[in-house]
Parts: sequence; structure tokens; C-alpha cells
Amino acid sequence: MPLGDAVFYGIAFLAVVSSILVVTLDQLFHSAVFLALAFLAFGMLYIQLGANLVGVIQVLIYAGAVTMLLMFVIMLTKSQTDSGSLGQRAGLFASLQDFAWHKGIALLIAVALLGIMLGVFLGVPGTLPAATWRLAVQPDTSVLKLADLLLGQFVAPFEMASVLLLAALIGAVVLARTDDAPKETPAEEAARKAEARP
Amino acid sequence: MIPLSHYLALSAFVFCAGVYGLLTRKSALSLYISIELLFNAANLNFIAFSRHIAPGNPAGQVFALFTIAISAAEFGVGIAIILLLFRQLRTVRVSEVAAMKG
Repeated sequence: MPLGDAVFYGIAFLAVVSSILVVTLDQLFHSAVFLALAFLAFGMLYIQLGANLVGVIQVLIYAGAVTMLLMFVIMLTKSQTDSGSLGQRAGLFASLQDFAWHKGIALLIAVALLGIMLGVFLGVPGTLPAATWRLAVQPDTSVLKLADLLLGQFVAPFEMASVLLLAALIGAVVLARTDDAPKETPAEEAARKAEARP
Repeated sequence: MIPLSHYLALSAFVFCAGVYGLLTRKSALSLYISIELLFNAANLNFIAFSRHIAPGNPAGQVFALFTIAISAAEFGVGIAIILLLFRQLRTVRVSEVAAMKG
């Protein structure tokens, strides 16, 4: 097997293993770390497919921003595990150990969906070239073409995407904003209740 | 040379892992993690088909870029909703959020 092909199968193995770990690990933080690994594997695949800019954006947005935001929210909401078993140290695969009937059904649905998809996809003809390991002698022109498309043919969706991002930004701020009136702390609340009690 | 079908099979596998996560996980954050897997699987299909159908024309990559932008917007709003949920109910477990259950 040529080196380029071997690299593809290595990255594919990494992506498969880390995506399985993402949905089975009970500790949310471990799940987020393996999600970052899956994002990096996908970014490598994009670059291998010649989509250099998308690969770089994948690493910046997904492996960087999304994972970091996710970790912050996991800490902010104090959600240590998915099963909710706080305190006692659950096993690494605790979500697999308490095997409930609904998980069996979910596994059945996922495997059936995978079977249907593989049945369709494995019949698709065509091959793609593996990555080459020569250093680029000529400058990479794919980014220039992409910029031409984004600001030419696809300029209307591009502007709509920026409006969508602005709307999402404002929406997120409005949703997550706290009320202006200072809330009483639990200690103050207890003191008030103690005063009200005769 | 790698068959195009192998890229599609990889993305199908990651997509189904995401579906399994969506069906079994209990925390709203885990559901978001699973949804991100679905987005990435779809993106890989876009780029593989773009490379296969028109190697010189990166129009398929534009769709992948838009997917990334939309998923980022969705993620920001979703995280804000989860934070609001936690502030109101002190939980992010979807099974315990039944305030709007009819």
C-alpha cells in the first residue's frame, strides 16, 4: 500500500475510534477531548483532499473555538458525567455498563442506518488521489479560486451567512444575559426567611 | 488511489455514531457534541464529492464553509440556551426538563 493511502486509513481509523469514544465515554470532559481529536482528524482529511482553507478553518473553529466553548460550559454547568453519577468515580465506560433496553434500540437504529448508508455508498464508483508528499513548487491557487467563488458566484449566501452570524450573536447575548437587578445570594435568602419567620 | 466510497463509508460511520449519541445521551451538552459529529460527517461528504466531481473547481468547499458558519451560529445560540436552562432549573439533563411537557 502506498504511503499516501496508508495515511488516509490511519486518519480514518483515528476518526472512527475517537467518534465512538465521544458517544460512549461517560465523563463529559473526556468526551470533549476526544471530540477535539475527531475534529483534528477531519481537518487532516480535508487537507488531504486538497481543501486546505477548509482544513485550516476546521482546526480554528471546531478544534479551537467550539471545543474550548464546550469545555467552559461543561465547567460552568457543573455537569461532570452524562449519566449524572456525581461523586462516586464511575468506570470509564459507565454508560455502556448500565445497558438499558433503550440503548439496545438506539444501537439497533444506528446500525440499521449504517447498513443502509453503506449499502448505497459502497456502490459509488470513482477513486480519489491520495496526498502527495512533494513540497508545493507553485503557489497554492485553490484559496484564490475559493475567494473568487465566495465573493463572486456565492456572494448573496455569503452576506446572508454574515447576517445569520450577527443575528446568532445578538440572540446568544440576549438569551444568556442576566437580569439587571442583583439577585440575592442563598445566604441572604436564608436570612430573609429567618426574619420573616415569627 | 483511495476509492471515493471509502470516504463516504467513513462519513456514514461517524454520522451513525452521532445518531447513536443523540438517541442515548442524557445531558444537553452531550447532545450538542453528537450534533457536531453529524455536521462534520456531512462536511466530509461535501468535500469528497467536490474533489471527485470537479477537482479544479472548489465550489463544493463553499458549501462546507457555509455549513461551518451555520453550525457555529447554532452552537452559540444553543450554548446560550443551555446556560439559561442551567440558571433556571440547575440542571442540563434533558429528561428533567419537563416544564413545557403537554
